[in-house]
Amino acid sequence: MNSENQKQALFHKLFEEYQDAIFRFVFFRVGGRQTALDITQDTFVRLWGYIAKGGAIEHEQAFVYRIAKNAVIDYYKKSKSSSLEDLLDSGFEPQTNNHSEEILKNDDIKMVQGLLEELDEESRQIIFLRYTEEKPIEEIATLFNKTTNAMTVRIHRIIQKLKTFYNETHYD
Amino acid sequence: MIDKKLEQLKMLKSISLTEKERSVLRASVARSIQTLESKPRVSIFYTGLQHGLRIGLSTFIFIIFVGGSVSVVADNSLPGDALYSFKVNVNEEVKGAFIKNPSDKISWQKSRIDNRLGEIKTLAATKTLTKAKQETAQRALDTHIENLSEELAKTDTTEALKVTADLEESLKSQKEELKKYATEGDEKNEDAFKAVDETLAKVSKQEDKIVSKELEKIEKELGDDMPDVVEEITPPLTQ
Repeated sequence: MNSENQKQALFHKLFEEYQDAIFRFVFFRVGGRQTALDITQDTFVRLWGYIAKGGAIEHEQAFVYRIAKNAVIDYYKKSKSSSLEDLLDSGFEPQTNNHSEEILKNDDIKMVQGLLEELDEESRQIIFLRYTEEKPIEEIATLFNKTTNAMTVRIHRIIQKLKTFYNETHYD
Repeated sequence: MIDKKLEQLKMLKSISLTEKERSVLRASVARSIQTLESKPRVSIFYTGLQHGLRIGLSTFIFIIFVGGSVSVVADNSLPGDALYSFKVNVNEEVKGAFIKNPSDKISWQKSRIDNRLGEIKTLAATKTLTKAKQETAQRALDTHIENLSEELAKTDTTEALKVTADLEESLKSQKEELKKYATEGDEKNEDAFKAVDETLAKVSKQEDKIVSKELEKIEKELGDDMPDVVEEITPPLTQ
Protein backbone atom coordinates (compact mmCIF):
# COMPACT_ATOMS: atom_id res chain seq x y z
CA MET A 1 0.00 0.00 0.00
CA ASN A 2 2.35 2.63 -1.20
CA SER A 3 0.20 5.00 -3.19
CA GLU A 4 -1.53 7.84 -1.43
CA ASN A 5 -4.74 7.03 -3.27
CA GLN A 6 -4.72 3.48 -1.95
CA LYS A 7 -4.17 4.67 1.58
CA GLN A 8 -6.97 7.20 1.32
CA ALA A 9 -9.31 4.66 -0.25
CA LEU A 10 -8.70 2.19 2.58
CA PHE A 11 -9.21 4.86 5.20
CA HIS A 12 -12.48 6.07 3.67
CA LYS A 13 -13.73 2.50 3.42
CA LEU A 14 -12.96 1.80 7.09
CA PHE A 15 -14.38 5.14 8.16
CA GLU A 16 -17.69 4.60 6.36
CA GLU A 17 -17.90 1.00 7.47
CA TYR A 18 -17.07 1.37 11.14
CA GLN A 19 -17.97 4.89 12.23
CA ASP A 20 -21.31 3.83 13.74
CA ALA A 21 -19.98 0.64 15.27
CA ILE A 22 -17.04 2.43 16.84
CA PHE A 23 -19.23 5.25 18.08
CA ARG A 24 -21.57 2.72 19.65
CA PHE A 25 -18.70 0.76 21.13
CA VAL A 26 -17.32 3.91 22.70
CA PHE A 27 -20.71 5.29 23.71
CA PHE A 28 -21.52 2.04 25.51
CA ARG A 29 -18.46 2.59 27.62
CA VAL A 30 -18.39 6.32 28.22
CA GLY A 31 -22.08 7.21 28.09
CA GLY A 32 -21.92 10.81 26.85
CA ARG A 33 -22.47 11.25 23.15
CA GLN A 34 -20.07 14.15 22.87
CA THR A 35 -17.32 12.24 24.66
CA ALA A 36 -18.06 9.23 22.48
CA LEU A 37 -17.84 11.43 19.41
CA ASP A 38 -14.46 12.80 20.53
CA ILE A 39 -13.07 9.33 21.19
CA THR A 40 -14.45 8.09 17.86
CA GLN A 41 -12.70 10.97 16.13
CA ASP A 42 -9.47 10.15 17.99
CA THR A 43 -9.83 6.53 16.90
CA PHE A 44 -10.04 7.42 13.21
CA VAL A 45 -7.22 9.96 13.43
CA ARG A 46 -5.03 7.25 14.99
CA LEU A 47 -6.15 4.88 12.25
CA TRP A 48 -5.14 7.37 9.56
CA GLY A 49 -1.80 7.91 11.27
CA TYR A 50 -1.11 4.20 11.00
CA ILE A 51 -2.31 3.89 7.39
CA ALA A 52 -0.44 7.02 6.28
CA LYS A 53 2.81 5.54 7.57
CA GLY A 54 2.19 2.54 5.33
CA GLY A 55 1.30 0.17 8.18
CA ALA A 56 -0.16 -3.16 7.15
CA ILE A 57 -3.60 -4.20 8.44
CA GLU A 58 -4.36 -7.90 8.51
CA HIS A 59 -7.78 -7.92 10.15
CA GLU A 60 -9.42 -4.59 9.44
CA GLN A 61 -12.34 -4.87 11.84
CA ALA A 62 -10.20 -6.18 14.67
CA PHE A 63 -7.66 -3.45 14.04
CA VAL A 64 -10.20 -0.62 14.13
CA TYR A 65 -11.76 -1.95 17.33
CA ARG A 66 -8.34 -2.34 18.89
CA ILE A 67 -7.58 1.30 18.22
CA ALA A 68 -10.97 2.29 19.68
CA LYS A 69 -10.33 0.07 22.70
CA ASN A 70 -7.01 1.80 23.32
CA ALA A 71 -8.61 5.20 22.84
CA VAL A 72 -11.23 4.33 25.48
CA ILE A 73 -8.52 3.08 27.84
CA ASP A 74 -6.59 6.32 27.32
CA TYR A 75 -9.77 8.26 28.02
CA TYR A 76 -10.25 6.44 31.31
CA LYS A 77 -6.63 6.92 32.23
CA LYS A 78 -7.15 10.62 31.78
CA SER A 79 -10.57 10.94 33.38
CA LYS A 80 -10.15 8.27 36.08
CA SER A 81 -13.91 7.96 36.11
CA SER A 82 -15.28 4.59 35.29
CA SER A 83 -18.23 3.99 37.57
CA LEU A 84 -21.71 4.05 36.14
CA GLU A 85 -22.73 6.79 38.51
CA ASP A 86 -19.87 8.92 37.38
CA LEU A 87 -20.78 8.23 33.81
CA LEU A 88 -24.38 9.14 34.49
CA ASP A 89 -23.27 12.25 36.31
CA SER A 90 -21.11 13.24 33.41
CA GLY A 91 -24.37 13.16 31.41
CA PHE A 92 -25.61 11.29 28.43
CA GLU A 93 -26.76 14.48 26.76
CA PRO A 94 -30.24 13.11 26.07
CA GLN A 95 -31.22 16.16 24.06
CA THR A 96 -28.81 15.11 21.34
CA ASN A 97 -30.43 11.76 20.75
CA ASN A 98 -33.57 10.79 22.54
CA HIS A 99 -33.51 7.32 21.11
CA SER A 100 -30.19 6.43 22.70
CA GLU A 101 -31.35 7.92 25.97
CA GLU A 102 -34.46 5.83 25.94
CA ILE A 103 -32.42 2.72 25.38
CA LEU A 104 -30.07 3.56 28.20
CA LYS A 105 -33.05 4.26 30.45
CA ASN A 106 -34.33 0.77 29.78
CA ASP A 107 -34.33 -1.08 33.09
CA ASP A 108 -32.70 -4.17 31.72
CA ILE A 109 -29.99 -2.15 30.02
CA LYS A 110 -29.38 -0.12 33.16
CA MET A 111 -29.20 -3.28 35.21
CA VAL A 112 -26.76 -4.93 32.80
CA GLN A 113 -24.65 -1.82 32.69
CA GLY A 114 -24.57 -1.85 36.46
CA LEU A 115 -23.35 -5.42 36.42
CA LEU A 116 -20.79 -4.69 33.73
CA GLU A 117 -19.28 -2.03 35.93
CA GLU A 118 -18.10 -4.86 38.17
CA LEU A 119 -16.01 -6.22 35.34
CA ASP A 120 -12.66 -5.14 34.05
CA GLU A 121 -12.54 -2.99 30.90
CA GLU A 122 -11.57 -5.82 28.57
CA SER A 123 -14.41 -8.05 29.78
CA ARG A 124 -16.92 -5.23 29.22
CA GLN A 125 -15.69 -4.79 25.68
CA ILE A 126 -15.94 -8.52 25.01
CA ILE A 127 -19.55 -8.54 26.23
CA PHE A 128 -20.40 -5.55 24.10
CA LEU A 129 -18.92 -7.11 20.98
CA ARG A 130 -20.61 -10.44 21.64
CA TYR A 131 -24.07 -9.23 22.70
CA THR A 132 -24.50 -5.81 21.16
CA GLU A 133 -22.52 -6.11 17.96
CA GLU A 134 -23.19 -9.87 17.85
CA LYS A 135 -19.70 -10.57 16.63
CA PRO A 136 -18.63 -14.16 16.14
CA ILE A 137 -16.28 -15.48 18.83
CA GLU A 138 -13.57 -15.92 16.18
CA GLU A 139 -13.59 -12.19 15.40
CA ILE A 140 -13.51 -11.19 19.05
CA ALA A 141 -10.65 -13.66 19.59
CA THR A 142 -8.73 -12.03 16.74
CA LEU A 143 -9.36 -8.60 18.19
CA PHE A 144 -7.94 -9.62 21.55
CA ASN A 145 -5.14 -11.76 20.12
CA LYS A 146 -6.60 -14.96 21.60
CA THR A 147 -7.46 -18.31 20.13
CA THR A 148 -11.15 -19.03 19.53
CA ASN A 149 -11.14 -21.62 22.29
CA ALA A 150 -9.50 -19.26 24.74
CA MET A 151 -12.09 -16.59 23.90
CA THR A 152 -14.96 -19.08 24.29
CA VAL A 153 -13.68 -19.95 27.76
CA ARG A 154 -13.18 -16.30 28.56
CA ILE A 155 -16.74 -15.36 27.56
CA HIS A 156 -18.12 -18.25 29.59
CA ARG A 157 -16.21 -17.08 32.65
CA ILE A 158 -17.41 -13.53 32.23
CA ILE A 159 -21.01 -14.69 32.08
CA GLN A 160 -20.52 -16.80 35.20
CA LYS A 161 -19.10 -13.77 36.94
CA LEU A 162 -22.05 -11.64 35.87
CA LYS A 163 -24.44 -14.30 37.13
CA THR A 164 -22.72 -14.23 40.47
CA PHE A 165 -23.00 -10.42 40.64
CA TYR A 166 -26.65 -10.59 39.53
CA ASN A 167 -27.52 -13.18 42.16
CA GLU A 168 -25.70 -11.21 44.85
CA THR A 169 -27.60 -8.10 43.86
CA HIS A 170 -31.05 -9.60 43.50
CA TYR A 171 -31.19 -12.30 46.16
CA ASP A 172 -29.56 -10.53 49.05
CA MET B 1 -31.61 -15.31 33.54
CA ILE B 2 -28.48 -13.28 32.91
CA ASP B 3 -28.34 -14.57 29.34
CA LYS B 4 -31.72 -12.99 28.68
CA LYS B 5 -30.62 -9.75 30.24
CA LEU B 6 -27.50 -9.71 28.13
CA GLU B 7 -29.66 -10.26 25.07
CA GLN B 8 -31.16 -6.85 25.82
CA LEU B 9 -27.82 -5.34 24.92
CA LYS B 10 -28.79 -5.91 21.32
CA MET B 11 -30.97 -2.85 21.66
CA LEU B 12 -27.84 -0.77 21.85
CA LYS B 13 -27.11 -1.71 18.30
CA SER B 14 -29.78 0.69 17.16
CA ILE B 15 -27.72 3.54 18.55
CA SER B 16 -25.94 5.28 15.76
CA LEU B 17 -24.57 8.67 14.84
CA THR B 18 -27.08 11.31 13.88
CA GLU B 19 -26.57 12.98 10.52
CA LYS B 20 -25.29 16.06 12.30
CA GLU B 21 -22.87 14.01 14.39
CA ARG B 22 -21.74 12.18 11.29
CA SER B 23 -20.95 15.49 9.56
CA VAL B 24 -19.17 16.81 12.64
CA LEU B 25 -17.12 13.62 12.93
CA ARG B 26 -16.19 13.68 9.25
CA ALA B 27 -15.13 17.32 9.43
CA SER B 28 -13.20 16.86 12.71
CA VAL B 29 -11.34 13.82 11.44
CA ALA B 30 -10.51 15.60 8.17
CA ARG B 31 -9.26 18.64 10.10
CA SER B 32 -7.17 16.52 12.48
CA ILE B 33 -5.66 14.59 9.60
CA GLN B 34 -4.81 17.81 7.78
CA THR B 35 -3.17 19.13 10.92
CA LEU B 36 -1.19 15.91 11.25
CA GLU B 37 -0.04 16.06 7.65
CA SER B 38 0.80 19.73 7.52
CA LYS B 39 4.37 20.62 8.34
CA PRO B 40 4.93 21.62 11.94
CA ARG B 41 4.36 25.32 12.24
CA VAL B 42 7.25 27.39 13.36
CA SER B 43 6.52 30.49 15.36
CA ILE B 44 6.98 33.84 13.69
CA PHE B 45 9.50 34.74 16.38
CA TYR B 46 11.55 31.61 15.67
CA THR B 47 11.27 32.16 11.91
CA GLY B 48 12.30 35.76 12.40
CA LEU B 49 15.17 34.73 14.62
CA GLN B 50 16.31 32.13 12.10
CA HIS B 51 15.97 34.66 9.30
CA GLY B 52 17.91 37.20 11.30
CA LEU B 53 20.62 34.68 12.12
CA ARG B 54 20.81 33.69 8.46
CA ILE B 55 21.21 37.31 7.41
CA GLY B 56 23.70 37.92 10.21
CA LEU B 57 25.74 34.88 9.28
CA SER B 58 25.65 35.77 5.58
CA THR B 59 26.73 39.31 6.38
CA PHE B 60 29.49 38.04 8.63
CA ILE B 61 30.76 35.66 5.94
CA PHE B 62 30.45 38.45 3.37
CA ILE B 63 32.44 40.79 5.57
CA ILE B 64 35.06 38.14 6.24
CA PHE B 65 35.51 37.24 2.57
CA VAL B 66 34.86 40.56 0.88
CA GLY B 67 36.28 42.57 3.75
CA GLY B 68 39.29 40.28 3.86
CA SER B 69 39.82 40.65 0.14
CA VAL B 70 39.45 44.43 0.38
CA SER B 71 41.90 44.44 3.24
CA VAL B 72 44.51 42.49 1.27
CA VAL B 73 44.06 44.64 -1.84
CA ALA B 74 44.10 47.82 0.25
CA ASP B 75 47.42 46.85 1.84
CA ASN B 76 49.10 47.31 -1.51
CA SER B 77 47.40 50.58 -2.35
CA LEU B 78 49.23 53.88 -2.76
CA PRO B 79 48.14 57.49 -2.21
CA GLY B 80 45.51 58.33 -4.83
CA ASP B 81 44.15 54.76 -4.97
CA ALA B 82 40.52 54.15 -4.05
CA LEU B 83 41.46 51.83 -1.19
CA TYR B 84 44.28 53.94 0.22
CA SER B 85 42.01 55.50 2.82
CA PHE B 86 40.87 52.00 3.82
CA LYS B 87 44.50 50.95 4.22
CA VAL B 88 45.49 53.89 6.41
CA ASN B 89 42.29 54.39 8.40
CA VAL B 90 41.05 50.81 8.77
CA ASN B 91 43.75 48.21 8.18
CA GLU B 92 46.52 50.02 10.03
CA GLU B 93 44.24 51.35 12.78
CA VAL B 94 42.91 47.84 13.45
CA LYS B 95 46.42 46.42 13.61
CA GLY B 96 47.48 49.28 15.90
CA ALA B 97 44.52 48.67 18.21
CA PHE B 98 46.01 45.31 19.19
CA ILE B 99 49.34 46.81 20.24
CA LYS B 100 49.32 47.49 23.96
CA ASN B 101 52.98 47.95 24.86
CA PRO B 102 53.95 51.71 24.73
CA SER B 103 57.35 50.96 23.23
CA ASP B 104 55.74 48.80 20.51
CA LYS B 105 53.22 51.56 19.87
CA ILE B 106 56.03 54.04 19.23
CA SER B 107 57.72 51.58 16.87
CA TRP B 108 54.38 51.06 15.17
CA GLN B 109 53.80 54.79 14.60
CA LYS B 110 57.39 55.14 13.44
CA SER B 111 56.91 52.34 10.92
CA ARG B 112 53.76 54.05 9.62
CA ILE B 113 55.77 57.20 8.92
CA ASP B 114 58.36 55.10 7.13
CA ASN B 115 55.58 53.42 5.12
CA ARG B 116 54.14 56.77 4.00
CA LEU B 117 57.56 57.97 2.91
CA GLY B 118 58.07 54.61 1.17
CA GLU B 119 54.83 55.20 -0.73
CA ILE B 120 55.97 58.65 -1.78
CA LYS B 121 59.26 57.15 -2.88
CA THR B 122 57.43 54.47 -4.95
CA LEU B 123 55.25 57.09 -6.62
CA ALA B 124 58.28 59.24 -7.32
CA ALA B 125 60.18 56.27 -8.76
CA THR B 126 57.27 55.45 -11.09
CA LYS B 127 56.86 59.11 -11.99
CA THR B 128 53.23 59.01 -10.80
CA LEU B 129 53.52 61.32 -7.82
CA THR B 130 51.10 64.18 -8.20
CA LYS B 131 50.49 67.14 -5.93
CA ALA B 132 47.20 65.59 -4.81
CA LYS B 133 48.87 62.28 -3.98
CA GLN B 134 51.65 64.04 -2.14
CA GLU B 135 49.07 65.97 -0.12
CA THR B 136 47.22 62.76 0.70
CA ALA B 137 50.41 61.15 1.94
CA GLN B 138 51.32 64.34 3.75
CA ARG B 139 48.02 64.39 5.65
CA ALA B 140 48.60 60.82 6.73
CA LEU B 141 52.16 61.68 7.76
CA ASP B 142 50.94 64.62 9.83
CA THR B 143 48.49 62.35 11.65
CA HIS B 144 51.17 59.75 12.29
CA ILE B 145 53.56 62.35 13.68
CA GLU B 146 50.81 63.64 15.99
CA ASN B 147 50.11 60.12 17.18
CA LEU B 148 53.82 59.50 17.63
CA SER B 149 54.11 62.68 19.69
CA GLU B 150 51.34 61.45 21.97
CA GLU B 151 53.11 58.17 22.47
CA LEU B 152 56.47 59.87 23.03
CA ALA B 153 54.91 62.08 25.69
CA LYS B 154 54.15 58.95 27.66
CA THR B 155 57.68 57.61 27.56
CA ASP B 156 60.91 58.87 29.16
CA THR B 157 62.88 61.64 27.49
CA THR B 158 65.96 59.60 26.62
CA GLU B 159 63.85 57.02 24.82
CA ALA B 160 61.78 59.74 23.10
CA LEU B 161 64.89 61.57 21.86
CA LYS B 162 66.37 58.32 20.64
CA VAL B 163 63.21 57.65 18.63
CA THR B 164 63.13 61.11 17.07
CA ALA B 165 66.83 60.93 16.27
CA ASP B 166 66.36 57.59 14.56
CA LEU B 167 63.40 58.94 12.68
CA GLU B 168 65.37 61.96 11.53
CA GLU B 169 68.10 59.67 10.23
CA SER B 170 65.51 57.59 8.43
CA LEU B 171 63.90 60.64 6.85
CA LYS B 172 67.24 61.95 5.68
CA SER B 173 68.03 58.57 4.23
CA GLN B 174 64.67 58.55 2.43
CA LYS B 175 65.41 61.99 1.05
CA GLU B 176 68.75 60.76 -0.28
CA GLU B 177 67.03 57.87 -1.97
CA LEU B 178 64.50 60.21 -3.52
CA LYS B 179 67.31 62.17 -5.03
CA LYS B 180 68.20 59.09 -7.11
CA TYR B 181 64.93 59.44 -8.98
CA ALA B 182 65.14 63.17 -9.20
CA THR B 183 65.46 64.85 -12.52
CA GLU B 184 66.33 68.48 -12.48
CA GLY B 185 63.27 70.67 -12.79
CA ASP B 186 60.90 67.73 -12.27
CA GLU B 187 57.96 69.07 -10.36
CA LYS B 188 56.92 65.66 -9.11
CA ASN B 189 60.23 65.07 -7.40
CA GLU B 190 60.01 68.48 -5.91
CA ASP B 191 56.72 67.45 -4.32
CA ALA B 192 58.34 64.33 -2.94
CA PHE B 193 61.21 66.33 -1.46
CA LYS B 194 58.69 68.75 -0.07
CA ALA B 195 56.86 65.89 1.69
CA VAL B 196 60.06 64.57 3.22
CA ASP B 197 61.26 68.03 4.18
CA GLU B 198 57.97 68.87 5.84
CA THR B 199 58.06 65.61 7.74
CA LEU B 200 61.62 66.22 8.76
CA ALA B 201 60.67 69.67 9.96
CA LYS B 202 57.87 68.22 12.03
CA VAL B 203 60.11 65.57 13.51
CA SER B 204 62.65 68.28 14.41
CA LYS B 205 59.86 70.29 15.94
CA GLN B 206 58.86 67.23 17.90
CA GLU B 207 62.45 66.88 19.13
CA ASP B 208 62.38 70.51 20.24
CA LYS B 209 59.14 69.86 22.09
CA ILE B 210 60.63 66.90 23.85
CA VAL B 211 63.74 68.83 24.86
CA SER B 212 61.67 71.81 26.03
CA LYS B 213 59.45 69.56 28.04
CA GLU B 214 62.47 67.90 29.60
CA LEU B 215 63.97 71.28 30.51
CA GLU B 216 60.70 72.37 32.11
CA LYS B 217 60.74 69.21 34.12
CA ILE B 218 64.30 69.81 35.29
CA GLU B 219 63.43 73.42 36.21
CA LYS B 220 60.51 72.27 38.29
CA GLU B 221 62.60 69.68 40.06
CA LEU B 222 65.42 72.09 40.87
CA GLY B 223 63.28 75.13 41.64
CA ASP B 224 65.33 78.13 42.98
CA ASP B 225 68.63 76.24 42.74
CA MET B 226 68.40 76.25 38.98
CA PRO B 227 70.50 79.44 38.25
CA ASP B 228 73.35 78.30 40.48
CA VAL B 229 73.39 74.92 38.93
CA VAL B 230 73.37 76.47 35.46
CA GLU B 231 76.15 78.76 36.54
CA GLU B 232 78.15 75.89 37.88
CA ILE B 233 77.71 73.94 34.67
CA THR B 234 78.16 76.90 32.38
CA PRO B 235 80.56 79.47 34.01
CA PRO B 236 80.19 83.11 32.86
CA LEU B 237 82.02 83.86 29.63
CA THR B 238 83.41 87.02 31.16
CA GLN B 239 85.57 85.08 33.52
